Amino acid sequence: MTTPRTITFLTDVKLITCIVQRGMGDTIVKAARDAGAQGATVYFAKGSGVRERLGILGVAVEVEKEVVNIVVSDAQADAVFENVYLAGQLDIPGMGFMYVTPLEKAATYIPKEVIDKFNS
Amino acid sequence: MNQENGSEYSSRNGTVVIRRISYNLLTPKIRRHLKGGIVPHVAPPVKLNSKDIYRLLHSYFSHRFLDQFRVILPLPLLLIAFQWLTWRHFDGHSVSIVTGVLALSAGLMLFLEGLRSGLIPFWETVGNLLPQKTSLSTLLLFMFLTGFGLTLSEPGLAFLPHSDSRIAVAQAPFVHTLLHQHSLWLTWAMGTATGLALSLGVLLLSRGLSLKPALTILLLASVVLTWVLSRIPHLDRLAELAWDAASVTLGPVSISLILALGKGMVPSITKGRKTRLGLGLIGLTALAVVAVVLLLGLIMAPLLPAPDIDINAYPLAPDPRVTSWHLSGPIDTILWTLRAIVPTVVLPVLACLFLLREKIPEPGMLAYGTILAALGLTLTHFGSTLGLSITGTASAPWEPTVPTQASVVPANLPPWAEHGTILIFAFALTFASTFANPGLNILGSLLENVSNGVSTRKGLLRIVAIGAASGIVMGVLKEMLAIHFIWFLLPATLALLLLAQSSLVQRAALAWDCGGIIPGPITLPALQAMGLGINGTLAGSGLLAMAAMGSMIAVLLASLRNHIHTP
Repeated sequence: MTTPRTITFLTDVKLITCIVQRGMGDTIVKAARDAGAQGATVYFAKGSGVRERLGILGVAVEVEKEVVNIVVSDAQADAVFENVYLAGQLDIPGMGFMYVTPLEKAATYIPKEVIDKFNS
Repeated sequence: MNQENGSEYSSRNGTVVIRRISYNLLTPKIRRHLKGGIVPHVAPPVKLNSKDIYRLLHSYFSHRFLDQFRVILPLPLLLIAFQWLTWRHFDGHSVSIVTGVLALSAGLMLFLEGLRSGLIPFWETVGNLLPQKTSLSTLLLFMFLTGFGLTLSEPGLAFLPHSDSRIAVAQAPFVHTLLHQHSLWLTWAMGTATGLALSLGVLLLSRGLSLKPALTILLLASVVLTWVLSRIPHLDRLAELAWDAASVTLGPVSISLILALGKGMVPSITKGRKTRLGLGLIGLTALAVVAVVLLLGLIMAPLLPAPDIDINAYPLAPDPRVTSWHLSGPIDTILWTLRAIVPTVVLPVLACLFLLREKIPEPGMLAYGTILAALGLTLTHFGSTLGLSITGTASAPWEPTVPTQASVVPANLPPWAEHGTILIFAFALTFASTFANPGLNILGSLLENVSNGVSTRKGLLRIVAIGAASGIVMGVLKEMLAIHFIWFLLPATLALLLLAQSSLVQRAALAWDCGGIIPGPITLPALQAMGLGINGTLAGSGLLAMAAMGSMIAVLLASLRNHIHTP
C-alpha cells in the first residue's frame, strides 16, 4: 500500500508585487528577506507610466523593469511592504510601483516537523 | 502596527508616517463622445520640484557611476603597487591619477548608458526590419558594407600600441614594416575580412545553419597558416600580430552594433529557430581577420625586401608619445571618437531611410544616446590617458631597459621573485580590467535580457575575466621562457575544438564572441603600462590572442558545467 500524498494549504497569505527599474530587483529581494519574507520570484518586463510624462527627465527612468513577486503571511505583510518600499526608494519619481494582493491559499514544500507541530 | 491614515510609528527604518488616499481621486475623469465612445485621455506632464529632480538624477547617476568606479579604482592602484615593487619608484602624479579614475568611471558610465538607452534599441529595430523589408542580397550587402566601413573608419590597429623602440623593431622587423609602411594594405584586408565574415554569418543564420563549421574551418586554416609562417625565418612575430589583430579589429562601438543588429535580425531571419541572439558573428569576424592577415603576410613576404632596418636609428627607450595607445591632444581624441561613433549611427540611419523607407524610431532617444556615447568615449580616452599611463616607459625586466629618470634603479629582486611578481600582477590587472570592458558588458546585458536574468552580466564578466587573466599569464610565461607562440596555439586550439564540439551551438558561439571582444580598450593600456609585450609593445606579442583564447576556453568550460545558460 502506498502512503497517501498530502497537500498542506497555507492560509492567511498575501502577494506583494513590486515593479522596479532593471537592476534594482536584488535590492528589493534583499529588503523583503530582511523583513522575514521567505522567497521571491523575479522576472523581466517593460513598463510605462510616469516616465512618459517627465519630458526630458524621462531619460533617467529605465523602460526595462524587474517584477518581484513575494508571497508573505498576513502578519508580516506590512513590515515587508514597508521595508521594500523604503529600500527601493519608491518615494522617488520613476523608481517603481508596488501593491498587495490577498491570496486565497498557497502550497509548497513544508518540512515535516513544521506540519506536525501545527497540524496535530 | 497601525496603518490608519495619519498614523505614525517608528520602525528600524526610522519614523514612518502613513497616509491613505483613494485612487479614485487621482485617476482622470473620462469624457465620452456623443456616440458613447471614450475621448482618448492625454496625461498632462508631471512637474517635479527641484528636490525630486535632484533625487531622481542622483539615483540615476550614483548607481551607474559607482558601478564603474568600483571597477576602475583597482587598476591604478595595482599599477602603482607593481611599479613600486619592481622599481621602488613611482612615476605618476596623484592629481592626474585621481582625475583619470573619475573621468574613466564617468566616461564608461556615459558610454554604456548612451549605447543602452539610445543606440542599441535603434540598431535592434533596424536589424529586425531589414530582413523583413529587403531581399537577402541587399541584407548581405549591407552587412558587408557595415563591416568594411567600421573597420576602415575605426582602424583596429589604432588600438594596437606599436612602439618605435629599438628592441621592438629588432625583435619584429617585419611587423614593424607592415604596421608602419603598409598599414593601408593591412586595414583594407582587415576591412574586407570583417565585411565578408559578417555577410557569411548572416547568410548562414538565415539558412538556419550553425556558425560552428565555419568557425572550425577558419580556426584550422589559421593554425595551418601560422605553422607555415613559423617556418619562415624573418617573419618573426607576424603570426602573433595576425592573432592579436583579431582581438582589436572591432572597437566597443562596432561590437555593440553587431551584437544589436544580430539580436534584432535573428527572430526575423531564422523564423524563430532555436536561437534568440545572433551569437557568433563577432567570433567569425575575428577569425576571418586572423586568416586574412596571415595570408597577407605570406603574400607580401616575398614582395618586400627582407627588412633591412638600421635599428640604431631608433631610440633605445620607446618614446611615450609614440608608444602610447592614447591619442596626443584633445582634438585628436574627439576626432577619433567621432570616427568611431559616426559611421555606426550614419550607416543604420541611411539604411532606415533609404532601404526601409521608414522614419527614424524615437529620434530623440537616438540623439541622446549618440551624444552620451560620444561624450563617454571621449572621457574614457582622456581618463585612461591620465589614470592608466602611470608608467609609459616601464618595460619587462627581462628586456634591457632604460628608465625615465637616470636616478631610478630597479629593485633588484631575485629573478624568481621578479618573475613571480610580474605573473601575479599580470593576472590581477587583466582580471580587474576585464570587468570594465564595454563590449563585454553589453554582451552580458544582452545575455541577461534574453535569459530573463538566469545568466547574469556579472557572472559572464567573472568567467571571462578569469579566462583572460589566465591567458595573459600563459602569454607572459611564453615571453619569459622564449617559447614559440605555436606551442601555445596548438594545445589551445585542440582544447577549443574539443570543448566546442561538446558544447551546445549557442554556447560555443558565445565563447567565440567573447574571444573577439577580449582584451578590449581598458585592458590594453593597463597591460601596456605594465610594460608587457615586446618592450611595452603589444602588437605581435601574442599576448592578446592568448587572452582571447583563455577567455573562450573559460566560457566553454563554464557552460559545460552549466554556469552559463544561453537561450
